[in-house]
Amino acid sequence: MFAEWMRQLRTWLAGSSFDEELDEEMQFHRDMHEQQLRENGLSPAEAKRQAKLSFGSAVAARAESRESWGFAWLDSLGQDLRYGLRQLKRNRGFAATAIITIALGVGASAAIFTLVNAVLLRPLPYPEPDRLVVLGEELHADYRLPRTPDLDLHHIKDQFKSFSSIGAWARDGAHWKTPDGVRSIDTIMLDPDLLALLGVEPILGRNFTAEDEASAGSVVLLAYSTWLSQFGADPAAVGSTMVLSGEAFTVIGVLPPAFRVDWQYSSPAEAYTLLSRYPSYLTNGLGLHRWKYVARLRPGVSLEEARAEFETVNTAWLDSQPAEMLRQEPVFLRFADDALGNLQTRLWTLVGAGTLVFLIVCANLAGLLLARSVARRREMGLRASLGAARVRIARQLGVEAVLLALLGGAVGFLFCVWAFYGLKSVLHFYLPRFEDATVDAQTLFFAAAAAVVCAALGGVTPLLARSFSAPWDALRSDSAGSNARRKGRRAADVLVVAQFALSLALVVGAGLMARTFWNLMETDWGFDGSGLIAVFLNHPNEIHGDTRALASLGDELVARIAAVPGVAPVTLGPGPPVRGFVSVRDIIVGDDREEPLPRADIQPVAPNYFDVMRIPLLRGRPFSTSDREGSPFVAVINETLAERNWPAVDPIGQSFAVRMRDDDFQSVEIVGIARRVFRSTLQQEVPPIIYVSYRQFPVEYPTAVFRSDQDPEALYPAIRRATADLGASQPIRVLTVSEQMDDSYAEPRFYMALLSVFALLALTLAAVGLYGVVAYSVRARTAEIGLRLAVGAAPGQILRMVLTRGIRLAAIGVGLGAALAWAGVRLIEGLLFGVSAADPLTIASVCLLLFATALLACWIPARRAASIEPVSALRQE
Amino acid sequence: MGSAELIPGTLEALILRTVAAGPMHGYGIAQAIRQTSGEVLSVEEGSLYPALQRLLRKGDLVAEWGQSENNRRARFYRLTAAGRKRLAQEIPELERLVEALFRVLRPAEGG
Repeated sequence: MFAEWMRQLRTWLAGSSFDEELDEEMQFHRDMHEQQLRENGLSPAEAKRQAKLSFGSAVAARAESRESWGFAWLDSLGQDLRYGLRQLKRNRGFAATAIITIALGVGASAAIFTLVNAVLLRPLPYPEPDRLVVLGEELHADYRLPRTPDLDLHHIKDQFKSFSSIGAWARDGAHWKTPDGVRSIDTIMLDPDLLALLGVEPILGRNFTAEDEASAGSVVLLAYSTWLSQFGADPAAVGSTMVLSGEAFTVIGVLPPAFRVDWQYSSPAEAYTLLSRYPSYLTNGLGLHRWKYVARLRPGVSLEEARAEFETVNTAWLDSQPAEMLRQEPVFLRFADDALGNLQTRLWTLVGAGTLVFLIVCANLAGLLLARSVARRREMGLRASLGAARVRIARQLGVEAVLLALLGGAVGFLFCVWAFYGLKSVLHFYLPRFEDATVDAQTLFFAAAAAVVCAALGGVTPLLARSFSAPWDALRSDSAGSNARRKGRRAADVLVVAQFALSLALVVGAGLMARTFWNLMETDWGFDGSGLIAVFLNHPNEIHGDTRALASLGDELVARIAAVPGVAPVTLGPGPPVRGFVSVRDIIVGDDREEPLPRADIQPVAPNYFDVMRIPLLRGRPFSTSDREGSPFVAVINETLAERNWPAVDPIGQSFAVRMRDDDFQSVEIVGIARRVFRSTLQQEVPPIIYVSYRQFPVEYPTAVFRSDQDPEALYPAIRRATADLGASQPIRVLTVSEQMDDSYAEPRFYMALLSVFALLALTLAAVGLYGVVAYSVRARTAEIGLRLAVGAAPGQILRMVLTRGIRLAAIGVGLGAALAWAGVRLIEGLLFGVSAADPLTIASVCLLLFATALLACWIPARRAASIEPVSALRQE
Repeated sequence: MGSAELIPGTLEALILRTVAAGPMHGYGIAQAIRQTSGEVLSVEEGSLYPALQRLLRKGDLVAEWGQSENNRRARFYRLTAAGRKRLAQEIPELERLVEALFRVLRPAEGG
């Protein structure tokens, strides 16, 4: 069948040579015939005459030969195409509008498809990725109660019947001493089972072995990118020594380029070490809290069976624990859901926005084609009454829609390529798996399909509206009473209403994102981040927990930095709230040791910490230099803790106890209350915090913080020089706090921008659609309006009449859209901050915005209607 | 020397059978059918060429230009594998048809 089509098409494309060859062939036939007749003894003249007798049948044979190829259909299609192209050329304005409309819809949706396909839809790069699951426990953000200890999966992993293998990993950091200096790198600790179950083999060197694991060997596997950038892809890297956090590791291999397990992080780890090197590995085991467990299902075991088994084991463990502890319920996830789950809301929001834009584009195109088919009713009516079959006329319209789809799709694909690489340059910081995403054949296929759907939806509307159904009706009169015309107009009205409804939903979404972003920007962090610079220091392991040693290391750090020119007062603490070290401790309030104990963050700081950070003290005093070893232990607590534990009394002067280690508690007296300070992301609640003096509690990872009005980049070399020999071979990290704060806005800002672009697009399309419908109805009613004016209507009345019609359509659309938005915005609730999804202010102002747009779109045609000259309008009829 | 009307559908089978002997041009095919049928079947230009085009479309024949016996350019038709298969199917069909005709036209003796 297909081969026959190909033969048919090839022969048809041969075009005129088909006829020429057939003619030549039949001429040959006649000549041979004539010769034969002469040979049979006829006179040349008689032979010629007889041969010629068959000429008539030759003409018929030629026509019939063409027909036997089924060319009639293709021939008329060719006619339709040529005619359609001519029509588009003649109506450039219409053609350009339609093509741009399709291109916008196709381009935007194809770009988003490519993004979502690359990040969410394509399978993860492991063998049988859908047989991988992640085992975990639900983490409680609640600080008040201690949690049940984590189930130690590592030591019972052979007991599961559902899993052929279980492997664990956790992210870690290390300082890598290179000839150029010390680099901070992200590493992963894993057990060899993980690599095996993910089906990954080093491309160079060897894998971890059981002996490596048993002996907790100092061996390391390199990520491909590290090998490329740091070792110049030198095979001799394998076997070389790498000094990580002061310890020598042997490089045993290089992992393949695409390998990655830590999809949750913005960039993959650079080196992989053994989990058995984790200090508390033997004593505490490996809990689900810190470790990510990946399991591969045994062949034949279903996801549900595996989930049931894991939950049974976990529940038994929880039941064996003291009842007052917070139960950490088991979590069982498909690997892909765990790895990419946090992106799903965001990306599906984009998909939703893209779909809305696409639907608006379809409605807009349908409106355009409808208006055009109404305008062409006379032409169509004429063709029909001259004998064109209805099917043929419908096909003519279909061919024109397909032509538009092809042209619009082609432009849309270019637009998609441009939009996609634009998105990529911004988004690859936030989205894993986006770096190697490209526009490919799938994109092209999607764009083609989108263009076809767009043209089909758009092209079918005029047929449904049957605006060209009755030729006699079309020819008879141009009166507004015509039935077909009214049907066409009603369809156009429906389309405008739909566009306004869909636009409203999108604009509400964009409005909520804008409010979210605004709220983020306006939120008081609780401290002043401007010009704040933090210098992080990693102390040697030996002084871990040693208050005096840590304090003097901190003092030294502060003294060295204070000596750098251009640096204002320096303070010491656990780092700025955006990037600090957090240690959570149990506390005892009052006399009765309630069980379980409430908890709070503990932050040892220098006396001038509140001053330098500009954290206001609500009451009481900050620390002084006399709050040191030997003097009474004091604390400043934050508002959250004050409200939680001393809701009725003044906390100042009250005492509570902080667990130091094991059952050793230290009693402290509250001397001040500090304001709330946001920590990392603004969407998080502020935890209870206890500030203590760094001379009374060990300040782990001492961090110097200072304010400077100089360019931070210019200060870095001096700071590095001043602190080079501090903290053994550990590097110093320097961060600009305000940059860190800005970074936390970057992602919401981007989604807000993208949604705003979509909303603007939607609004413009809806406005253009409404304008088209109103302008068309004014044109169609020119005579009627002329008559009204002639019998005494004021231009103002006409203006109002046209505006009312347009606004009424917009109002219906806005009403439906508000309902749609109210139902739809719940989906993006998770992305919002400081504004509810059903925020009345946002919805009301968006409705107003849409009415204003509608008014604007109707104004021009309404003005034109009001300024119609009655006499010339009536003469037109 | 009269010529008979063809039963519809048989022309294509006749062409295929004729071309099975080797590549032939249109005139040659017409001649061969006439001669082989003892001057009974005459194939007109008006039905021969459309039939040839139908066979080309179905893929039973392929055509290529070549030299005729009197050194003129002529289009030669050749049977394809598909055409050969169709011929093998259609000959028994036609035989059944002819037999049926006979049975109707000459009722069994003594009946």
